[in-house]
Amino acid sequence: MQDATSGPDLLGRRRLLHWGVQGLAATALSRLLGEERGIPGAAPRARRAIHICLIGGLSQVDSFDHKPLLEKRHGKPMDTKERPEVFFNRVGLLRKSDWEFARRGSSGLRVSDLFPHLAGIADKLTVIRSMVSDTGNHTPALFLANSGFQPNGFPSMGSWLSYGLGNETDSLPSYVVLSDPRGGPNGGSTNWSNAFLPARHQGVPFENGPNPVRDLFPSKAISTQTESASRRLLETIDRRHLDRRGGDAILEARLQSFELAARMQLSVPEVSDLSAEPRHIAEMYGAHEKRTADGARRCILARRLVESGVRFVQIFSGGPLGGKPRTSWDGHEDMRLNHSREAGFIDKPVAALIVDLERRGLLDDTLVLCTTEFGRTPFTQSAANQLGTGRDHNHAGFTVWKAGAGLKPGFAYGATDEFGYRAVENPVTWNDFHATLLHLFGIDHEKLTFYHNGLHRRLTNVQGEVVDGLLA
Amino acid sequence: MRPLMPKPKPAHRPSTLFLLAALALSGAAPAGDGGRWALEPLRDVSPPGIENTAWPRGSVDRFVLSRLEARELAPSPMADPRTLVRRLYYDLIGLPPSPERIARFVADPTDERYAALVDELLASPAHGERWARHWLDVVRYGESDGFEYNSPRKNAWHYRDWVIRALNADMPYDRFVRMQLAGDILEPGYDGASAVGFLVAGVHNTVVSGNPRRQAMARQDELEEIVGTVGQTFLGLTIQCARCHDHKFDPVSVAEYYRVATSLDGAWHGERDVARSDGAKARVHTVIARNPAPMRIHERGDVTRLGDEVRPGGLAAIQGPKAEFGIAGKSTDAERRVALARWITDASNAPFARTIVNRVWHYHFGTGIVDTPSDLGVNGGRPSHPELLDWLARRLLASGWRLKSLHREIVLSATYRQSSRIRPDAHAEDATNRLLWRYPPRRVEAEVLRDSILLVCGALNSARGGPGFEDVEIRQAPPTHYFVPVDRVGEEFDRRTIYRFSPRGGRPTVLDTFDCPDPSTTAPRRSVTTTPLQSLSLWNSAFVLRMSERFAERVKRESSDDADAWTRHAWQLAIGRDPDEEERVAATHLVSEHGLASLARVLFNSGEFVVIE
Repeated sequence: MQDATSGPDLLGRRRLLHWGVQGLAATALSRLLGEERGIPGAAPRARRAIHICLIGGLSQVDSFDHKPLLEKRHGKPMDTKERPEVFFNRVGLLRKSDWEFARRGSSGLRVSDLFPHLAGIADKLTVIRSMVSDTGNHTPALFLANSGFQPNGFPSMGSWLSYGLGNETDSLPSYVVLSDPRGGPNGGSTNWSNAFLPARHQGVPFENGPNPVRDLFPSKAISTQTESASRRLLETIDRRHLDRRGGDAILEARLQSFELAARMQLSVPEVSDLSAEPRHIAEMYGAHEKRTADGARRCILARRLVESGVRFVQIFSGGPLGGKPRTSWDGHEDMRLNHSREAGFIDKPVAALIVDLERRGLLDDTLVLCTTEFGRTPFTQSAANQLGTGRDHNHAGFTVWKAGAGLKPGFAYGATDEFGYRAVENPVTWNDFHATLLHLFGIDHEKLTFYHNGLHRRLTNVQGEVVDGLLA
Repeated sequence: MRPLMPKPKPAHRPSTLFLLAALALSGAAPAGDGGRWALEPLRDVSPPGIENTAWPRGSVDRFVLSRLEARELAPSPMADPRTLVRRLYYDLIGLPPSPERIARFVADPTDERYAALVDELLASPAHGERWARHWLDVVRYGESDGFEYNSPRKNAWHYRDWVIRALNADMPYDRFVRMQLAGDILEPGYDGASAVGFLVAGVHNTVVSGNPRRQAMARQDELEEIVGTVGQTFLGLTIQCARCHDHKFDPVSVAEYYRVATSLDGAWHGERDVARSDGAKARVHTVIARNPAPMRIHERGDVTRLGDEVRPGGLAAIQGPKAEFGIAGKSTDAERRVALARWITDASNAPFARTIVNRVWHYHFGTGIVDTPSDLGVNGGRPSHPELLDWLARRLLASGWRLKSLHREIVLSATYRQSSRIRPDAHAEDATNRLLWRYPPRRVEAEVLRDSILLVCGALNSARGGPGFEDVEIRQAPPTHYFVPVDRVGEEFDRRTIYRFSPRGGRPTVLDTFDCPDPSTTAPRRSVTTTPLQSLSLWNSAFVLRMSERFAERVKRESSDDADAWTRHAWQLAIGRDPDEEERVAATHLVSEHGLASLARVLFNSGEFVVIE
């Protein structure tokens, strides 16, 4: 397989000029689609995804992984043989959940009161309660969840999907990033980096405001007349140059990309303008409540983006690490304060997003993913004989969930031990998670490769197995 | 399609920090020679016989022509003088020529003038700035730690300056490499300490738990990063693939991986004060040497499963220099690194010479003789002109490893001087131009674009060396650092882009969208893409709009006061020619209605400014 680092070549250029399905992406598509594998169930189920990426660690034992033993042993030590390997090395006493759990919906899926709105749509969720990660350090863990590798320098899953499947629109980017207004995630733009893939596969941050995309419009006022006269001249001299040259693929591609840029100048503001959303929809997302207004804005925007053909939208929940109070899901000091606040921002909007997608018939081929860097410990981050209020990082077992295309709804997969500390039943690695994601898109994760620097790189490195138990 | 290797799912997962690489391979099968051609000694080849004896200007051309003739293809005629001057300027110094410089050559476009121009450009300090950028791509030079804290490295630039100085001084390539591996030992002092910045230019995990197993893993991960970069940069070999198992394709065993790793195990990231030649102290991000403990093989890369002890050494499959260093497992860091540096740079180490020749060719033509410049192994590309590669490698050795001789050999060739125009007949036969029937037109790199705009506006601040300018705001949300691109205004920011402070993450749009790579990973071959976001950034960014004003001021200052003269001068400054009649009329109209800055913006965005022929 060739990579796509060179510009599109001459003569074949017309068919190559579609931005996003250019070059390899187009070729990769037909070769990688599941039907080639000739096995049932490999046909693409998903066409697009919205990823809610929680910064920090969501406590599994306070949300989706109910552990009655913690109630019984509240305030007692966790008497396992091995000493847990935790980041701050302070293993306090066991703490029961700060939220009540209940069976929800007709599926009976257990969800705590931390997420009352998600609990209301539990029948649509597919929960993985046996995630494991290789690290409990924030940034490497976040990179691992997004790119399959701990260090900087590897393409994220959104970039891989863009590379593998291209885009369904040529007037919007294929991969859009919606950061938390409190600031970017740890690792910043590395999280949505194309790394060694061509630049068009990088995530494009959409900001709130009149200029959603960097450099979409001139940074200073330029009159419409000047703007259009300038563009006309540019086109004139570029076309003359092209004629003089007797054709040239790069020059043609540049002309085309200016046309697409102009279309993007229309599409981006249009898709970002939420004023046309009916009031009942906006209210369902919580757009008129202070606490959920921003989450609602980004969830509605995400829906509009995927409706317009964007392949992958990533919503970050949580800003920079640290802060007082902390601005991410990182309840080292006080779980109740921290998780109540963070969940309050997104619970209602995300639940509404899933309902809205379903009502529009989009949930059948749209995936909603909610991931976290790692989970939290069932014991508190405190001295060995103390019951604290905060929990430390735990990468030995934690919970993520998904909803939509091709998944078993109202279903929980895998299990942690009786404390909720270590995944013991059907552990799922990030490689497995990514393999399953690609599978849902009809892509064999072992075949989606890009040659870089001596290696045919994959999102799943050299491991990963599709988790069949999650599939409908 | 190669069958995939079995996928063990061990109960205890080995470290997968960077790779386990070779298992991932699923690409096309290698050629029949097993792909080990690059490890064999350089062949003593002579330029082949050819039919069209009038075309070649030297031996390079005979190798190229011979392959063209075998496919019944003719080379292209020589490019016109203006195109040649511009090509040479962009290629050798990364900046456009002045209108006067173009006019001088166009008036007298002889071979002698051309050769003199080549020498002039190779002697320019801007040459080192241009080619050091290529080198920094390859060696993943970045000015922050990466990982969790991503702390800025404010004292890493000494390495960048050392590379520029070394290239400008035409330091013999073997010494250039020995300095980067062991300069702190071979030539202690400022230069040596700066040069080994190479070893510690990559990412560095500063957040490692106190747990001894975790610490050992972090160190092994770091060594893998260093061994990988050393192998790929200097030998075109992915040695790091053998960390957990024998290399699946290239002849590198696990034991050999650890022999190389232990040779480098004395190198740690750090900073220290070094005295400069003028006696002043400089704080330098460099190798902090420690004498390592003997190294044992790690079974499957697992730090808890230690096998046999290894001694420092190289790779037996490389036939020239002795892979056995003859030093003990307990030898000092200095002994190890010097031995490794001598083994790598030995005149009989064929992949060492082939790799640099191919890299240099890659930057002159946009594609290497082997199109995977950091991988000449089984999974890399096959050479398009294998004899030429060996012939050039021998020439490089004969010149005393002088890269400027190699540049001269290449750019004086008729192959390099061809027109870049498309020819449908040749295109039908060789669409990717692997046989070089024309010079490949190329979109300029992000840095060249920014530097060129600064230059033609008369705004380029030519100050050389020293700490980089910061066009990012460093925000700290403890403990993590964020690098947020900011449009900075002022002369100190108008330096060449190689002097930009380059942290991991956080680039302004003009660099970002024009494929300037993030230094988190090596970039031996950049992507070249054309996207709407790229067009938007060059059309709308504050930098381009500000420079358009500067350009307009310059044009008005330097030409008589009418729109016609302005248009002509603008064309000359930006793309080195006069506008034709249609262009002149249309442009003059824009200038009189909408101002000269509007024209500048158009010219900066034009195909002729952005694509070099």
